[in-house]
Order: sequence, then structure tokens, then C-alpha cells
Amino acid sequence: MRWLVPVVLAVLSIALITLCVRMDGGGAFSVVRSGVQSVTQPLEAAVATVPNPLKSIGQPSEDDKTAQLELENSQLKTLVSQLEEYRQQDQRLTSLLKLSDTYGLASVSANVTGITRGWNQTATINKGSSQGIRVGMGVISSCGMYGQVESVTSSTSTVRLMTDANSSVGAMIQGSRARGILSGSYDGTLTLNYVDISYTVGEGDIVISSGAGGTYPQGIIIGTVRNVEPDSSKLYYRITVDPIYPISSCQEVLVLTGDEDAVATLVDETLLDSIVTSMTSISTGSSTANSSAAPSSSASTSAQSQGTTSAQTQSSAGSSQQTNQSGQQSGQSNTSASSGSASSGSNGAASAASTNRGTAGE
Amino acid sequence: MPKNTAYALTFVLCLLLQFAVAPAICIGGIEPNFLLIPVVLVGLRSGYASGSAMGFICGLLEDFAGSEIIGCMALSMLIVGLLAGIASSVMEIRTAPLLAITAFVAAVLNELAYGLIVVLSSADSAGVLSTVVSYSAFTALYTAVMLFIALVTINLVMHDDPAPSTRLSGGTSYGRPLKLKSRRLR
Repeated sequence: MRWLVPVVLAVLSIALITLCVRMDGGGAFSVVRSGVQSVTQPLEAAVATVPNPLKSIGQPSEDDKTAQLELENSQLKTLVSQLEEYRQQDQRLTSLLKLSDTYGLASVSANVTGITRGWNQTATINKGSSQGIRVGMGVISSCGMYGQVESVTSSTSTVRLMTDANSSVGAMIQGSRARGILSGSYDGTLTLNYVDISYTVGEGDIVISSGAGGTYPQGIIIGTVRNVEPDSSKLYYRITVDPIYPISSCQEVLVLTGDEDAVATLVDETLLDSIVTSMTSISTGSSTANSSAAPSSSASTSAQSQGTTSAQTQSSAGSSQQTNQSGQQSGQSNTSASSGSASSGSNGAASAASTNRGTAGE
Repeated sequence: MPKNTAYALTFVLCLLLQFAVAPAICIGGIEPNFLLIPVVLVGLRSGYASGSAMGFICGLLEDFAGSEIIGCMALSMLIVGLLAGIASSVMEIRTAPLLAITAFVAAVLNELAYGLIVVLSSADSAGVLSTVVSYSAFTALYTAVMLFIALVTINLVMHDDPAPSTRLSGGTSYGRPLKLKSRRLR
């Protein structure tokens, strides 16, 4: 009867796999997993303090000048795309005064203590439920979108990277606003699916989060379009996206702990449609005020963004959002908004924005 | 050293190595799978039933410690433990070359089985081949080296095992021999 042992165990394994897939890893599985990880992750964190000379093998050396330039280049690309996003956002906000509070999200900064790749691309961060982190929260880095919290212990969390095969997020092309679903893969390639073929999409276009799903606010940079081809149905594009930065190089991240209502506002389809409609009217309405205001607005944003980028995630303190509502009527309102980070000396958030609506309104 | 004591010590030590040391000695994001050591050890020394049970337990622990689908690693390590037990019933695996081959095959088999199970249990299979080449191959190699070192070391410590030829006669407590082995004897 000894042969029954492996047979029973194999059946049990398959049953576990089936149950886990059907329950999406939740329920009793998440409870047990959390219990096991609360034991194993402190062990890992304790040993992680010891320097590991082997860790950098196979990864770009920090001393390498070329690698530094590439990193700087990717950060600059990120900044430029963010500025473009903020410029467009500024135009939308000018027409949609009701949209004064787009990014009302609090955040917690954290350090990446470990990262895995291959079948299971996850990162471990040094903040957990005691800092307000919950399963499902979005995570961004100074360079853009990073991933989503998969499991949480009291002091650590596991983040499923956006490049993981089981990861998917709402995304859109920055220029055309064509929306789709961005999925990862086992080799880290990002693919944007279900983009309506009626849109114009070209190589090099910037891909940002669409806000759909509520995990991330709209406008978080993801990457650039590498290849565009129709899918098998010929109704949608299948777009290959290059991440704007090597995700494994990020050491500091922001967990978007914030206001779910604010995120819900972003996924309001009616509101998003009105934004798109407004954008169309702006572009066809030839509002010289808007077009002339854009550069100054971008410049203002640039100064702010560079400041926050150079700050490089020093603290999580803020999570604040500063909105000067009193200035709206006089056309001098100054909205400082952040997708999860404080604009006042907090993290170098990818989507930290400071939009001078007063300038645009003049 | 008594067999059960050696098993327990190996299991605890490998648990610590896997969850504390392995992330710290990863090379380019690739870390070895230390929990394969007790699985192969028990499979080789106590037969396929014990090996598969140990594989299931170790794999399940690894599943819960990670964030992948529960049961994938349990099933793949169960397979490795099972095959290690079957291999030990067919031939004596004690010499260094045989242990090296066993370690390599077990590590590769575990990675391939795990990859296959993960792919079968998920909807998207894009990038599987490149992952196998770039990740699983190196992980298997890294694990095989660690496994070989561990098996040789444990083999030196544990002397109390009877020779497989004794086991083939079916008169020991190491489990009943497989049908395959019986046929070979005839």
C-alpha cells in the first residue's frame, strides 16, 4: 500500500492548485501564507543586512559609467513623459474645474529588501500591515509603476512586479488615450492588449496607467511602445511595451495606501469620458491661452518634479495633498497633487505633480 | 548518526538555509533550492513513499513562503522525491559521480516540473521558453551544486544504512522493493 502515499499526495497537490486558482490565492490560503511568511521573512530580513558580493553578478554595475548614463537617460525620459502628462493634465483641469483633486492618495515609502525573478517575479519590501499596507495596494517607484502588494506580514510585504506573468493593470497610450490591459510575462515582457484598432499607435509612444481598476491613479508612467501588431481577432492591437527602466534596479518604492474613494473617482467611466471629450474640445478649440500657458506650466512642473526626484524618497511623511481652492475664482489656484507622495519634501514620486492652474487660466 | 535524527537535522537546517541564507547568496536574482536536499536524501535512503512525502511537505512550505500558486512546488518536489526513491531501489547511489548525476537530474527535473505545472495552472504561457533558459537552467545548476555538496557530506556522516542489495531482498525496514526491482532480479 506504500504506492498509495505518492498517489494521495499528488491528488492532494492538484486539489490544492485547483482550489488556490479558483480562490485566487485568498481565503484560508492567504491566512496560512501570511502565517508562514511572518516566520520566514524576518529570517530573510535579518540575513539581508549582511552584504552580498554575489548579488550584483549578472546585473549592471553601479560604477559603470554607461550604466549610470542609461539610468539617467531613463529617468530623464520618465521626467519628460511625466511633464507631457502633466501638461495634458493641466489642459484638462483647466476645462474641468470639478477635477481639482485627481491624485488624492496617501503613500508609504519602503525599501526593497529582496527581489526574485523567473516564474515568480516578486519583491519584498520592509513595510507591512503595521504601517498601513494592505493586500492589493499599488506600488510605484521613482521611475514609474512597480507592482501590486501580494501578501503582507506585520513588518514586510511581498509585491508582485508589474512584469510578472500573473500581473495585469489598466493602461493607455499617452498620446492617443487608447486604453487596454497591460500584462506581464514569464520573461518580463510587457504586452498591452485589447487596444481598439481604430486608434493610432506608433513605436515609441509612452504608455501610462489608465486608472482603471482603482489600484493606480491615472498617469503613472509604465514604458514605451516597442512593437504594434493586430491580434488574432483583428479588432485589437497587441502592443509590446518596453519598461521605461529596469525594474530590478529600484531600491525605494512607494506603496499607495491612500484614499480608495479618490481612486474610485478615477475609475468613474463617465468622468474619464468627459476628460477625453474635454481634451478633444481643447485640441480642436485652438485655445491660445491654453497652448501658450502649457510651456510655462511645464516649466513650473519641471522645477517641482526635479526637486522631488532629486529628493529620492527620503521619507514617507507627507502623503499630503495641497489644494488651494481659494485661488480658483481669481485664476490663481495652485494645485499640488501627488499620486501617493507628498509634494513637500517627501518621496520622489513618479507622478508627483504640481500644476499651476492659475498660469493656465490666464 | 541515527537515520531519523539525520533527517530531522537536515530538514531544519535546510529550512533555515532556504528562508534565511538563500536570498542572501543569490547570484543575479537566482537562488538555490536548499529544500531539495532533504527530499532527495530521504528518497534515496528511505524509498519512494517517504521521499514523496518529504517532497510534498517541503514543497508545500516553499509554496506558502512564496507567492505563487499553492501546490505547484509541492507537486514538483513530490515527483522528485518519488523518482529519487525509485532510482535508489534500482541501483545503489553512494559514489560521488552517481551522487553528482542524481543531484543534477533532480535539480533539473524539479525546475522543469515546476515550470510546467506553473504554466499549466496559469492562463498565459508567453515567455516560458526564455524563462526556462535564462532562469530555470541557472537555478537548476546552482541547486545541483549545493545538492551534490550536501549529499556527499551527509553520505560521509551517515554510515548506518544497509546496502541496497540487502534491501532488494525485501527483509529490511526500508520499505518494500518496487515491482520494477523484483522483475530485474528475476
